[in-house]
Amino acid sequence: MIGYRSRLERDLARWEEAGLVDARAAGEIRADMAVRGVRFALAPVLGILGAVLLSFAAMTFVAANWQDLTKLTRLLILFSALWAAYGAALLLRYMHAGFLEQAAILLGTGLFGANIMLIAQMYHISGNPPDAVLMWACGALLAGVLLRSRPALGLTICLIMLWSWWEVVDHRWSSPHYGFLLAWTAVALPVAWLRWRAGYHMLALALAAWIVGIGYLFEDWSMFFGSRDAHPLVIIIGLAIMLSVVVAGRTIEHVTKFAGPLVVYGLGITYAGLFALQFVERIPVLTIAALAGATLVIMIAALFYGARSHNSALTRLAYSLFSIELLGLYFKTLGTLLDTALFFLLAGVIVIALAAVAWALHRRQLLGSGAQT
Amino acid sequence: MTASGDQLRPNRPLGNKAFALALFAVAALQSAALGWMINDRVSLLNSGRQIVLNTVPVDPRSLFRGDYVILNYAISTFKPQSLGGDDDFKRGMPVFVTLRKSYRARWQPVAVTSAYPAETPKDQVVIRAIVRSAGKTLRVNYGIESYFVPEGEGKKLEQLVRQSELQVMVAIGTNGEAAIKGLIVDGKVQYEEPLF
Repeated sequence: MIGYRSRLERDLARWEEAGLVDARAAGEIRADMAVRGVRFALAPVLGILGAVLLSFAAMTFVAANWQDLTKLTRLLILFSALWAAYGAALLLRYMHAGFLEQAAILLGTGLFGANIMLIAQMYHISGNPPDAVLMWACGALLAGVLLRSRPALGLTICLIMLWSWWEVVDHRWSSPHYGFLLAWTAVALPVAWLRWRAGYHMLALALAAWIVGIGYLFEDWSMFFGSRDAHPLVIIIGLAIMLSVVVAGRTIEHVTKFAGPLVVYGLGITYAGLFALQFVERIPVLTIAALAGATLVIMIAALFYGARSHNSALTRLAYSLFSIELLGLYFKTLGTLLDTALFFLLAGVIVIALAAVAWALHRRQLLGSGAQT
Repeated sequence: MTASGDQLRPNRPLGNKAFALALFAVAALQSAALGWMINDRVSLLNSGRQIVLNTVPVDPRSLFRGDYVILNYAISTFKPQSLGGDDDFKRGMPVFVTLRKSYRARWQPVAVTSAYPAETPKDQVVIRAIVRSAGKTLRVNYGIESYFVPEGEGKKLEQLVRQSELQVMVAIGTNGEAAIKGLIVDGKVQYEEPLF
């Protein structure tokens, strides 16, 4: 938000100079920004961080397994702390400290998790540790839905990721953890209902991580490129996400207001698959060269699309991934150094030719708009 | 992602009264879930049948729950082919292991089945387990493999066992669920667990 303010200030000064905005309007815009700016105070951020710290305090208290207090005393402490946190939320509501009330709710859900661990520890329940995380996630989801609390929903998303990761690691699964999709949908519904945009990003990141995980989990999925793992499937899913936005972007934007970020996540997923195939797997050099070519084509297409749809996040990601790809190829070397040099030479010539085409298009556009006025 | 006040305020705010009710519901339901967890254990420890198993501990640390010792049991690995019951098992599936007191009063597996056996003689007991690895030998977890100890005491317990015999008192419920009741060192009850 601070970035937005300073950019607006720069633009305002330029517009004023060009006579697009008069001094009165500029003053009103600045006054509006100043009022809105109060909302972007540090208090909510600090409140949330404080809640996170207190939750960690409770969890390490549990982990210390302090035997000087009886079981009952320790239980009473954590149970009262849970109720006190929710009580504080109510108090803060009456004091009209909207954001701190959310921090108290987050603390309550954190203490719920600490309580689960304390009970598991006191009764030596080893069972299946991810189950405890899932139970915690259910409690956090309950708080998120009933209290319409975004921080609690954010915690739920983090917890279902931890749960899924733990399940996969603990049981050394050789297929994706489908239970995650069910849990993801259960969180996605209230997040969409509250129209929480940061939550959309968290959901998208969680799902993207899961999709990329498929590539490593499916074994003997050797359909394409002689790869042993399912990375080609990841690439296909990523490309499908990007293409669906390119084709039906307007509809998707209308329904979700999230088409722009969606194509960015699609590109990320696609490249995660491409990267794994080229630099993690062991596949023939010629296949790597073909995949590297395809990667550069995809990045350039993304750059074009990013420029056309004014999606600066997409442009930045495409540039970054382009650089990562080049560095990866440089260190991997395609066969001999001479072969790699040849690849870079060819790619360079093609990209410069594309730059010339882009320049010509840009000039024609400029001339066209000049003729209209 | 900026966590501004604007971001954290719900889009569909609740009225004060509804908010208070919802807070109470959340606190009550979460407490009920925890209470159910405790009740489940306490009733198992109270009413379950008790057996004593020999074990050897190792000392690691849990991410959330602090220091604990891993208890290894002889009955955790066996060859299903040489026992009664079923033979075909997969990793992660629940199984029921029937134990019988035999040589020197130690419990030995006599059968392993995928469902709870219909009949068990008086001198036998059935424990529920999860298959950790399948093959010719089956490795299972009974959910009684972790014993949580105060910080730093895991090593002590490990050393104690070098000179003496360590046994675990295990409560077993009617559905085969197992819970640790206490530890026995050289025949004497050392760490009896209070219920609360």
